[in-house]
Amino acid sequence: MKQALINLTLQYPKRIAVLAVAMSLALISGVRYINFEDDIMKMLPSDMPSRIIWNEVEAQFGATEPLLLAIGGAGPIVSARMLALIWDLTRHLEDNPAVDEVLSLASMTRIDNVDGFMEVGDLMPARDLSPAEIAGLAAYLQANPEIGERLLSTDGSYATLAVIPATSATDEELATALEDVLAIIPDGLEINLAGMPYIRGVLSKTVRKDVFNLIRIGMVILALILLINLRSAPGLLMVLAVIGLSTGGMIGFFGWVYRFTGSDSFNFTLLNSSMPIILLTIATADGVHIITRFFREIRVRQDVQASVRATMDVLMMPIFLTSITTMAGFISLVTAPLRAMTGYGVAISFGIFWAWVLSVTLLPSLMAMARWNLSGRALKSAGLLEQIVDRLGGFVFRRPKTILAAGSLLVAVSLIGATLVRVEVNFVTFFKPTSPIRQSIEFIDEHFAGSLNLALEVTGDIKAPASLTTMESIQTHLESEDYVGSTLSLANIVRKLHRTVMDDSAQYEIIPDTRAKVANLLTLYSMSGDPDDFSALVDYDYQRALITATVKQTSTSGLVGIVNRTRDYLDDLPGNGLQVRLTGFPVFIQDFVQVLIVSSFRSLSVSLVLVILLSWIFFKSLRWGLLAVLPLASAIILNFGLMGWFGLALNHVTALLTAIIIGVGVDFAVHFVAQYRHFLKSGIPRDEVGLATINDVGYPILLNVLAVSVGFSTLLFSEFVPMGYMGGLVIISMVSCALGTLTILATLTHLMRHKVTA
Amino acid sequence: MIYRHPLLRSIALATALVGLLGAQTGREIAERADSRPAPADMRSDMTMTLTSRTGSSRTLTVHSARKGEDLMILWFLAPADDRGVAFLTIKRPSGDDEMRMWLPSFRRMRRISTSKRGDSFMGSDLSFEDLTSRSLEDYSYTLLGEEAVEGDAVWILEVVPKPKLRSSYSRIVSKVRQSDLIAIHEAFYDRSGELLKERTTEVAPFGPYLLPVRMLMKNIQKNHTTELTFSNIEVDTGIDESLFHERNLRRLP
Repeated sequence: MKQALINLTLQYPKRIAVLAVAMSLALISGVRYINFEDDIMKMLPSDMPSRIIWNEVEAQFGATEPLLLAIGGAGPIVSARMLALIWDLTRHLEDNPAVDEVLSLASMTRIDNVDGFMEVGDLMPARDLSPAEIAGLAAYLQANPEIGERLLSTDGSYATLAVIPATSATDEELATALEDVLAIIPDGLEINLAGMPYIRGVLSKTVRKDVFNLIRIGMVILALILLINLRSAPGLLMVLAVIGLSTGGMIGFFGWVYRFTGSDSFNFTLLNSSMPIILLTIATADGVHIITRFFREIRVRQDVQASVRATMDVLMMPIFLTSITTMAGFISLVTAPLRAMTGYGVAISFGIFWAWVLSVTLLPSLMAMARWNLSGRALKSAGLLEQIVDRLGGFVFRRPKTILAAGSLLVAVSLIGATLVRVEVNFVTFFKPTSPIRQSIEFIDEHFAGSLNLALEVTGDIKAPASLTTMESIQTHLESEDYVGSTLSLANIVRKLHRTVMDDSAQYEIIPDTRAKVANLLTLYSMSGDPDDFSALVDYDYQRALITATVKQTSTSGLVGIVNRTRDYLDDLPGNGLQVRLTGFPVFIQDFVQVLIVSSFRSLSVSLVLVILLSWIFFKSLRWGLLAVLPLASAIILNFGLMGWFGLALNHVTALLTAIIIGVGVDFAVHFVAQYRHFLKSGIPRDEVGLATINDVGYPILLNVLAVSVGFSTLLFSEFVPMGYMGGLVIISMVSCALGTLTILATLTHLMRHKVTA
Repeated sequence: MIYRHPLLRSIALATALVGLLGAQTGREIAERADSRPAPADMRSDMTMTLTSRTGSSRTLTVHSARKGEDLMILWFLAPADDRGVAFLTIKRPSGDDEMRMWLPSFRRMRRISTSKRGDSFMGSDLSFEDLTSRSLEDYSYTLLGEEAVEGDAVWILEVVPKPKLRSSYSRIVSKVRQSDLIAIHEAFYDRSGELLKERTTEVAPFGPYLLPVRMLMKNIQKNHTTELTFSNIEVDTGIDESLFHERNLRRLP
């Protein structure tokens, strides 16, 4: 089989190359079906309790996550000019089909007692208000802080418009609607945006662009480093062809699968933005191993065909094994409850498979067809890095026990650090503190009631005073939380109506003492209000009500703390026939953390077991199987240790770290073990096998590490914090896997050299 | 006899098309409609069912009495929570309408302000404008054509409010059944020209009158509906004007 494939590539190199490129292009054409989706909800398991509650709440009460637009900074908002502008912006947004509703000074209603009349009217009856109307509005907002706090900043110089998206609107349609409205805001006014729809919109538009730009720059640097070391433009182009076609093929495959399945698992989320990075590291490894081996062979053999054959003869099996073990590492992601990870795992696995196909077909065909300058420097002598590696082996084997002890100590220290890893999945912390996006969100949190929503669905006899009183007490508890801005429920409306009916007497701003009174108040309101006025607060049967609380952005642990304390408070409430269910973004964050941790550990366990099993089968030895995972196990502990000690958070981007480590770590180890066994079989004395192996595989491993690490160091400059972490962690994982292989694995095999067999 | 019941009156506008074959203009149709007879007073039980976009519904039943267009009194019979709540409307020529509501649980009479024509009537999809008869001078009428609706031939009449009216609609398209001249379907367009509401009406004969027994108003933009059904209808019973006084709100009839 192996020989047949090698013969094929050598006999029909042109046809094989054309076929490989054509098939890759066909795969790449699936890119047009990629469906970008950054809705956190679609990443979560559909049976997750908070998601089920959320769906039910949205179906009943409408969307509860608004996009927040704050304008001002040019004098008081309650002035003729600014009110007219808010009126225009509100009407403009309301006319857009992507917008369901706008809550602003120009759309909210007010309840007044005027000369004995109960009057339900508009806060702003018209665009242009008289000075008396403006004064009246200011007085009303001051007297009704639950409205004022939501619509005006604490100093009155900024106003918010809460834009509720239409259920059918995409974030991009909403973003377009917003762009239209921003165009009519005159110069000199400050604009700030927040809210989950905005963050998602920004993520899909800006962050992805930022990441792909940095990847492009990284690719150029990677190519330069490869060129400097390989010293051969054709050699570089061949490696780049494998990298480019396999990465493009993987992305295209992702699009094709979405095209034919429509599965949410194949939505291209933020998480998937890191897919090219991972495949680039793996595909680079395949290409670098083959091309460097080929150069070594041609240096000795001075014959292209023979060198290609010798190269593929030695590397076909290790590359197949590294590919299949790496695929196993990533396919384990399908066991993760986080849906996006399923598509991620499948696509990366396919990408690895395609990189393997191209590495054993396209690459040898191109090598066989190329006109190599056999007297050129690249083929004649070893490069600088190659020479350094030749000395590395000597260093490692001079004091193998010391090296092994030092490595083990590092792993032990890392193990302690790994226990300190914190989880941070709140989107806002993904932006640097200096990022305009984060500053805008923080501005809104600082000046208004908050940009996140916590929702509590209350089921029971809502008109009963006991129910409304319980809702009030829940609100009081929520408002005692540092990061909760304001709360709103039907209880606020009933209190206000009660006061209004009782001649605007402040002592009656309480829940009435009988159910009949509550019912009368609501009927009184309905005689002059709109049927939809309460639809966001209570259902038609007065059996389900919603308490909403605005929450300021804070860390994941901060949000989880609010959720936990609220749950504890609800557990301690006296049972009065009410059922309260908690949902909203902070609850998703809590559930997301759980899902993320479960996903990470489940996929880690499954992939480690699979990798051990496959190595065991291929090497026909459990001992070799265990040795092959040793460097990557050490690297995983080292990386989590570093994250813990240096405060880098685990999130849904960095959670893929283990998969990356397994992906690259197993490659290095498998190459090492395969070559070690090859040398053992070939009769090299056992004392020299370790050194010979390092000299053989050390160079491609370190070249791979150098090129990928320096290339992807550009990600450290990403505006998007997790992608910076990702860049840093890719580097650390590459370096730690390489060092784990060339030190711990090398010294351990050296110390066990008389116990192992080929 | 003059149609005083506003619902009848608006239906009659379209109804007047009957027999006006040939060169009838919209205006002529409206004039004939306006001169059609109507009951002087009427009592009925009305059941109003509001259905939200989610499919949830709320039903209330009232007993109402009306005299002409200006006097109306309602007593809530159901749901049990609202039984005893009562509502009185007296229209003044000055336009300064008086609306009072009796809240039995508080034992208090409250006045309510509803100054805008487009305001919702009793939290329903019907506005006060929908309940007010269309004055001939306030609208222009155009006969658009004919078509068949569920096997019945209808005339299509476009009714456009004049600017001075400050209507919440830009136009209303009525489909008038040719056999009995009832406006069986009306489409209301908002000021930006978008379809806002649709109303369908069913009538039944009561003495010399055809009176609505069921009406369905659907707010297309909010996906919200209001269904009104009328029963126990009595006409021309000679209701005294003294019934329309706030003291009568305090007890169920």
